[in-house]
Amino acid sequence: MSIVIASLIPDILGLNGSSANAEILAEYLRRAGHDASVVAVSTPEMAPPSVDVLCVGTGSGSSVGPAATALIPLARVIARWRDAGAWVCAVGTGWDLLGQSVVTSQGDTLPGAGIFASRADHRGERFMGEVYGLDHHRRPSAGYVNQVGSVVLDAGEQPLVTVSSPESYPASDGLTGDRLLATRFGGPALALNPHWAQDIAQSVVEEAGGEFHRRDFHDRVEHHAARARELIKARLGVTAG
Amino acid sequence: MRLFLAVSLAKLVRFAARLRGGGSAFPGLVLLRLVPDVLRRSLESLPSGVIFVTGSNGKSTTTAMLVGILRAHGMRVFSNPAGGNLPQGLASALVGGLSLRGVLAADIAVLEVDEAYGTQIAQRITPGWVVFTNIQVDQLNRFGEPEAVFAMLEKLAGYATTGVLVNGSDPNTAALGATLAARGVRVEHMDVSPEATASADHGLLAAPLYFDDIGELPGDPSASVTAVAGPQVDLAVGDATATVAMPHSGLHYAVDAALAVAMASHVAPDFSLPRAADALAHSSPVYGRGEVIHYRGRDISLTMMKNLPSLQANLDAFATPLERVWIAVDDGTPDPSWIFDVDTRAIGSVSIISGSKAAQWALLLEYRGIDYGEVVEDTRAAMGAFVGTADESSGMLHAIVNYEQMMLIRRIAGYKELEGAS
Repeated sequence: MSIVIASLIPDILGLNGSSANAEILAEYLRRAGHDASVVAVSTPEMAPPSVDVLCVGTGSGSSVGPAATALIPLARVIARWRDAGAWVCAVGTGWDLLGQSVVTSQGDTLPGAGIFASRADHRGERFMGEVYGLDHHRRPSAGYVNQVGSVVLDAGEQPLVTVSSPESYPASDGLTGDRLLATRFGGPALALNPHWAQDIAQSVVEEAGGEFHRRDFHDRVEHHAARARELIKARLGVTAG
Repeated sequence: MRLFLAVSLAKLVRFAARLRGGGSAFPGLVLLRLVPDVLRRSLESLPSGVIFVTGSNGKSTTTAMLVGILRAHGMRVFSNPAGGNLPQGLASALVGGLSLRGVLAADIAVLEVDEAYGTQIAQRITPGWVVFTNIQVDQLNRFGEPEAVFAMLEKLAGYATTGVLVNGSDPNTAALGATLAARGVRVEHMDVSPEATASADHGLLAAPLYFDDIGELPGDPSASVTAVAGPQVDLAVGDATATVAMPHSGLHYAVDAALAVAMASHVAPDFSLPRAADALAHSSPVYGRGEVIHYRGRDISLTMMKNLPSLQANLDAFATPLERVWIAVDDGTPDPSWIFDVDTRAIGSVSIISGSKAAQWALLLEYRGIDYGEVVEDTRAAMGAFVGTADESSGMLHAIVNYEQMMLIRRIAGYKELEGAS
């Protein structure tokens, strides 16, 4: 069994460690004894016939237009991968562009790839800071958010994280669904939240008929991630959860 | 009389701060409070004017190199210490330079200026020239995105009364220069040959900004980096060429040197490239940029992890993977996410990780499969343990540190002075 992870247009959407999520997931799988590879996909010609996971990162304001343009010829490929059962793990601007639509900071509306039932609007204020909360399985989750504007989920969609702090951040973050994970927790979100890497890795391995066995490595990264999240929680003054 | 009293009081405060150990921006705050226009009164009358040096990376080193070159040409130069690039830092430097009568014995001021405070400082002192080093991915937790830095520098350029010098090898400052030239601003530039750029594994590490076609920089470069081989840098100014033996290796130092040479060629009397090359060869590192400190009989080189391009450029300059490494990072780096973008092949193994962001570094090293000894969050304990892992045959120890940890480590090692303060 060889697991293929596509890193979508990392040359444009790879800001601040966000393209590392693909590599983090691959290593998480390899350390459990599974063969895994990462393929950068910026054009349809670079796209393998099928992938198990599609990861996409974030970018700066001037990257939104070029990234949206690069996604147009890839939309059909992404839809084909999804139909075949691929996971999608999206961060920041990448999530925005794989949603239904993005309103840019200039007020232009760009169509999204339609993978996530969410709509982004970049006309609002920028939030920069640490965020802490509990995810949909009530697991402590944290990250540093540096994003402009807001994302609204369509009715009935489930947020990934219920935010405990800070109050200046919306009450929820991200989106979770059938083989979908999206968040505004920036950069290497899977490093600080290896439980999400575990969810994806275990699902992909089991879907292929295998079993995911944790090793010492997985306990060590959880140990360090838990410590990093604890410090974020303490800096934010969260006492419960 | 008011200036005399203000300078006297600020000097007294400065003396007291130094007795307590270390530099401080407080004397500058006192001086600014008592004489709000002291920067303008002291600096704008200098016969050769004021030069600002700003950008994402290379400000401190370019400033120090330019100061050295101008002094080698007989100019009396006032400057601020590395990192003292906010208004209070500039004023604190001024406290040391002013006579009690408020006179500054200088021909020219070369000031490192924080990119976010550039226009605020320019409202207090009008620069003749502004040097733009580069726009890279830097302090996203502060600026949001590099586009914000572009806008800040564009605004600052409007204050330059003579012109601007841009790094023509950085596509973002080159685009800024082309934009300004189209508006009629005098724009000079330096450049780097493709061969020299190829000397670093990751090239020049520009931020990925996306512009519509803006146009070309006008004219010939004022200086060029034509080749880089380790610490050897070949520079050209017009028809003159020179090979400089720099104190440190790295393409980024070569770029800083060319910026300094290019600027000096426009302001130094009877500019001489050999004289400039000699000054560069004898320049000292600013702190945290290859500085070596001594602690308990061991030498520790300090490499600053300020941001991705800066750390990557420093790592690229090491010829072989580092084996005795201490990584110390604290809350002074609010979001260390970018470390996952660093090519860590220059780090062979890590002895100790410390600081409040140690767990995030430990995660990176785990995913990269790089051995690390232990996590000791307390800096002082980590420093003792780190030197304890080495003996006299260990050679140079390496510390990769953020600014705040660097200052703490220097204090622990007994380095109390604010380096470069006049």
